[in-house]
Formats: sequence, C-alpha cells, structure tokens
Amino acid sequence: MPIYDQTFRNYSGTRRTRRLWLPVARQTLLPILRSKLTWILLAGALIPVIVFSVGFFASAKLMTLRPEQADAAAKMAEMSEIPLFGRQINLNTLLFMFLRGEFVFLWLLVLINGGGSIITDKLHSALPLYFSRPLTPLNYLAGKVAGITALPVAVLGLASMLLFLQAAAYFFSFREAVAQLPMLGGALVFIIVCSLLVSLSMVAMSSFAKNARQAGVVYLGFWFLTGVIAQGIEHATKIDITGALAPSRSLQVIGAHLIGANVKWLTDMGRHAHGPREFTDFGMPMAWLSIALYMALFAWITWRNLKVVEVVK
Amino acid sequence: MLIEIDNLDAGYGRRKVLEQVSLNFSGGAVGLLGPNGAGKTTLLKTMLGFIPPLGGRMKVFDMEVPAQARDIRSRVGYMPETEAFIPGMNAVNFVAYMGQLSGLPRPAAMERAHEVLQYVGLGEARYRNIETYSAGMKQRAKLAQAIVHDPALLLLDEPTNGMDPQGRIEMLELVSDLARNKNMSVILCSHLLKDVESVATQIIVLGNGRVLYKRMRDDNERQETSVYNLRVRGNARAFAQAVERLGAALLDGGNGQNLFARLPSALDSAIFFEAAAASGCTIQRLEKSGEKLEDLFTRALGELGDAHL
Repeated sequence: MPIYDQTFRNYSGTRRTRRLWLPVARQTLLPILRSKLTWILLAGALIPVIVFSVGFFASAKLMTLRPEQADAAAKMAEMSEIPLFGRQINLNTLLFMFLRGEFVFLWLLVLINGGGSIITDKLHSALPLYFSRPLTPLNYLAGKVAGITALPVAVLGLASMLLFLQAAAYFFSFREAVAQLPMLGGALVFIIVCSLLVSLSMVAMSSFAKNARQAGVVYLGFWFLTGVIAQGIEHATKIDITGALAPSRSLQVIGAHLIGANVKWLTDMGRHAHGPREFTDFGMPMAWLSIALYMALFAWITWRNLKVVEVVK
Repeated sequence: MLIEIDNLDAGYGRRKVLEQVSLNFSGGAVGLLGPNGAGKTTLLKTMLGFIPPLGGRMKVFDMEVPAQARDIRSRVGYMPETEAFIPGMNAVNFVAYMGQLSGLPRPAAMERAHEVLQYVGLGEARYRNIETYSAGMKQRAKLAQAIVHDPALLLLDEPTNGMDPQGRIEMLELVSDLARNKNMSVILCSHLLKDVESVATQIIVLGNGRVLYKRMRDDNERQETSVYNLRVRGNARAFAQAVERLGAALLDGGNGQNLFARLPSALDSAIFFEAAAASGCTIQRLEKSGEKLEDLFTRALGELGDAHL
C-alpha cells in the first residue's frame, strides 16, 4: 500500500462559512508582530506615555509639597483640569493632544507594514486561492484591514487607558474619575476611526500598486498632498470647511469632539501658531462626511482591484 | 448530476472564449483536453464564479452559477495553473490557512494540513518555506491546499506543469487515487494526452471554445491497447457490420474508408480478415494503435482547422 493511502482521510467534521475574515486578519497580523521595525516603533510610541506619566507624577508630588494649594487642586479637579507642569490643562484636551501626537506612530506603523498587504498576494497569484473558497472580497478586505488595525488600536487604547488611570489616581476622586469615563470611550472610537481610515487607505494603495514600495510612496503622497492642498485652499479662501479635504484634519475634528477637548482653546492655539493653522473646527457633520467619503473611496478602489481574472476589453 | 452546462457562452469582457458549450458530468474523473487557448481554464473559472457566463446556464451540485457560487466554492477544491502561494509561510501553515478559509476550524485545519502534506509527498519538507520549494514541490503544495478541506469536486488546471517525469507519474497516481478511492470527483485540464488518458474516465476535447469530442471510457478501455486503425476498399459499411458481428467494437472518429476498432483481449486481428472476406472488402491498412486518443485528439483538431498542434 502506498504511503499516501495511510494518511488521507475524508473529513466529516464541522465547516463554517461565517467570520472567514478572522483567519485573514490573523494571517495579516502575524508578520507585523514578527517585524523588528514594529517593535522599534512601539518603543517610540511609548516615549510620550512615559513623558506624560512622569509629568503627572511630578505635578502630583509638587502639589503634596505645597498643601496650601489643595483647595485649588480640588477646584481644578471638578473642572477635570490637571496642573501638568504648573499649567492648568483640561484632561480631555490633554488626551486628545496625546493621541494627535501618536497618530504619527499609527501612520508609520501602517506605512511599514501595510504596503504589501494586497500586492504581495497579487504578485504571487494567491488571489485565486483565496477566492476559490467561500471567502468573499468583503471578507478578504475586512480581514486585511482588521489585521493591520489590530495592533495600533490595542497599543493606543492601552496607552490612553494608562494615562487616564494615572490622571485619575493622582488628581481625581473615584466619583470624578467615573464621570470622566465617556472621554475614554470617545478616545477609543477616535483611535478605531483613525486606524481604520489609515489602514484602508494603505490597503487601497496596495491593491493597485506594482509593489509594496510603490504603495508606500503613493500612501505618503496621498496623506501629504491632501494636507498641503487643504491648508493651501483654506489659507487662500479663509473658508474653514475646506479643511475637510484633508482626512487628517477631519480626523482631528472628530477626535476633539469625541474626546471632549477644549476646541476653542485648540483653535486659538492654532491661530497663534506660526504658519498654517494647526486646528480648525469645521464641525462634526462635515468631518464625518469627509471621512465616510474617503473610506468609501478606498473601499471602492480596493474592490475594483481585487479581480481574480483580468478583463480584456 | 454533478455539473450541467447548457449552451454556455463565457469569456473576458466582450471576447468570447467558450461558445455554446453543453456538457454533463455525473462524477468520476473527467479529462478536459485541448490545446492552449481552447477554453479549458475559462470553463473552470466559470464554474468557480470568477467569470460570469455571457449566455446559457451552468449548474454545479444543482446550484446555479454564478448566483450560488459561494456555496459551490465551499465544496470545491481548485488547483490553479500558475504558481500560487503566500510568501513567508511554510507548507503546513499555508495549507492549514487555506483549510481555515474553506471553513475548517483551526485545529482541524492544522491536523489535516499535516495529513494531506504527507499524502502528496511533502511530509519531510512540510516545515520548509514554500518559496524554497522546487517547481514540482510547489505543484504538490498546490494540490495539498486544494484537497485539505476534502472537497466533493476537485478542479485541477494543468497539475503536472513543471514536474519531472517521475514527479509527473506520482502526481497522476495521486489524482487517480483521489478520484477512485477518496470519493472526489475530479476535472483535470491538460494539453497533455498521456495525463488525461491515465486518469480520466470521461474525456472532453475542447478546441476554439467548442466541444469537439466527448466520450466515456471504462477501465477496460483504459488498459486496452488493442485498438486498430483500418483502411478498407469496397463496402466499408458492410465491413463495419461484419466486424461488429464478430465481436469487435467500432470507435468514434472514423470516416469513410477509415475505421477505428477495439478488440476484446479474447480476439485477435484475424477477425478483420474474416470480416473482409464476408463483406467482399480488401484491407489496405491494418495498424495497431496504442495512442488512439492522440489520434482522435489530433483528428478532432485537424477537422477544426486548428493550427495549434
């Protein structure tokens, strides 16, 4: 009897055709976790967390050294403000600014890990292997995006929670901390929206590029140019709403509102800054519309390029 | 019926590759034979729902293509013609991943990945990265991913491409074993006659997007080599009747004075002379043919005026 006769058995176990995106997501995530660059970036993303933590600790110690400020501190806590490095700052605004800074980490993480997400499968003719199974293009796309998104969402979510807990422990009573919880929920939604849009943009670039490097260049170009163009138009026309052309600016508006940051303070800060304005509040509806349109555009581009068979016209 | 195809037109964009194809497969091993560009791969891709039919109807497992393509695909294994794999994965992880995408739970997919890799002869190399495999090993890995979920129907597109002679024989043995002993129906596309001959119980010859020839072959026929090509002068019809009366079977593909006849092992070629004497004909040529399929294939394409061969 040939050896192969002893090894093959017919399969009579369970089969499921739901949640087929999960294996794709897992398979996308694993190489990201194995990459050294990912861990270097993660270490870089931790630096702001450490800086903020040290700031909280030092500020809290300064308060205990000057007990006469205890009353003022309690008043600040009621306004959910904390005396970071002697400055009064709203915790919501602080969390938003922290996440705005961490956006660079998210953006870089997707740049180094997302470029090959689809083009690698295309270059190795793997799409027929995927789509000769019950997997749909939507499952495939969801799996790829989820795989790229999972790590930044987990890391940024955890970092936000850590900062919140420290601020609560040092400056707020339990009741005040509980009252602040929706801010954490808003931060989590903001992180997810950012990660989804950035990942989806890279997946779209990867679906039509010739290789991972080209996908990275197009991705860079897209985020850089939309930002520059929107700023230029806004500067020339003095119409705030034109800022929505840049997805990065729309994300900022959404984040500020979701987290409950002090939008007026941020806007004033932006106006006083040199050069183009850093923050313009053109309103949530416009920001959401802009993000939804960009997401739809990226999904459509990817969909168009997920063809198993090239059509000859 | 496993597959029913009725007046199917299929192609890419406006370009028709298959025209008015009508076929029925009830199961077993089917060989799709034809030169490059005949439409074999297009037929498989249409079955999988990759290409929507331009006209006609196609049903697989009594399900409509392309409306129920997803349900069909959950019961089909596909081995594409081109080199296809996911870089950076070893064979076990690759095959297990493909099993999961076919709906198997993760532990079952991993278990079956080991089994099928052993089955296709990659047991020792299963932890090696697929990129390091030779062309023949990649073909085996492709077969493994196609059978990991134990499909009811296996679609193989040129499975012996790039394999050395020994590897080719082993691959065909595996395909035969799957069709005969593992309850899988197989559709094997190839432009190599020997491959199809050694595996298929039903043969379909495609050329220029049309079915040129189709027939069932039984086991005896596959082992049978006593097929004769005859040319007679005189009343060929009377000769043919006499041959059949004496126990030989006439095969498709003959025309006019040319005949193809298959002899059971109990008879020898002397019966042709008896038949000639009985019908008053003269035998001008009597040639034993071990390559009758090749003759038929070549003739079918010749009739089409195809210049591919």
